[in-house]
Amino acid sequence: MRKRNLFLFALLVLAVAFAAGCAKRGMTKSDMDRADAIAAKIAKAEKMGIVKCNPRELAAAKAELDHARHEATEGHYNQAEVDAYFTAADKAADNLWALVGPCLEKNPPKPIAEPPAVAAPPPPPPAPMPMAPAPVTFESIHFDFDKSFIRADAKPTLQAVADYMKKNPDAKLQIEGHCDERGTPEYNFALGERRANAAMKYLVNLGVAGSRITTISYGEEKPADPEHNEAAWAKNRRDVFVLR
Amino acid sequence: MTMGRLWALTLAVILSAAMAAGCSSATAMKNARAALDNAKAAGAEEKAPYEYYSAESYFGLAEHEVQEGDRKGAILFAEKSEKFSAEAVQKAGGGAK
Repeated sequence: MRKRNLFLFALLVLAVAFAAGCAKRGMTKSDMDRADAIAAKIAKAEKMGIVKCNPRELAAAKAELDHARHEATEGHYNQAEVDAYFTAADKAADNLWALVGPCLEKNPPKPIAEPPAVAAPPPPPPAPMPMAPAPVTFESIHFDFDKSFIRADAKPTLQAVADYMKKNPDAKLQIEGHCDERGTPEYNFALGERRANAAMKYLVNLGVAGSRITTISYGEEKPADPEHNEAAWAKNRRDVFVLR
Repeated sequence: MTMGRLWALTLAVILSAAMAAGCSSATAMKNARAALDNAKAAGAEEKAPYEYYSAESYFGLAEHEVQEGDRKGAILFAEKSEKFSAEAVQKAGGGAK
């Protein structure tokens, strides 16, 4: 009887050990938030074309995040160890972000590289000298620090853009949102997006079809003024309008 | 059945299960390694770098899990690595012929 009890006890211990081996602890809210933030950082870098310049770093960052997620859901590690895995993933994502700027310099997005000429109806060519139509450009509009609302001084420019778009129904517009260098890259990327969207919304309210407008955020990556002072920052907090 | 026999039977079952689990992760690793070598031979490092380096990264993670004794993790990452290797080969134009 005693031997039998010992046997049953041993079986129970083994069963518990197996169950523990397969246990999933589930991700905590903080793990999930952290994973989402890292994933967002990687996705933004990817959206900005990092795969062309640094495919190896992109692959490594994604794998690190996957690894951290895996370890966070398995029951093998304590919270400090899981944190260390997320820190490694975050570092890989930061390294990736640091490469976005140089990548954009090497491979500027096509619509930004050269503002296309306006699609104007070809005039009859009486003159022997061919005249290229002057490209239409618009002034940039600027924003207050950490804000994305349209200031009063931006409204005349936006009105001019809207008038042009209405007179040229084939024209398409890209709005680039930019920020100054203060704040994290990911925060500034989101802020740039809000700025571009604010201008787009304003133009739509002025009667321009939203389908003719696209937006893109460059965050702090393409400053108009590379200096590190308030005057430069004020110039860099802007929306740029590019006709496509 | 005597107690001794019961013990022996239980041990045999446990050992078989452990060996089977060990074998499946070893097989997954072997397949992933072969797929990665195949991708490299196909020139995927140049022609499909993202897929190739993903395969390489996941293979590294699988090896790490093997060292940590996490068979399930090893299989998971080895299979991911194999999948990326296959994509890399496909993108690189079908691999070595």
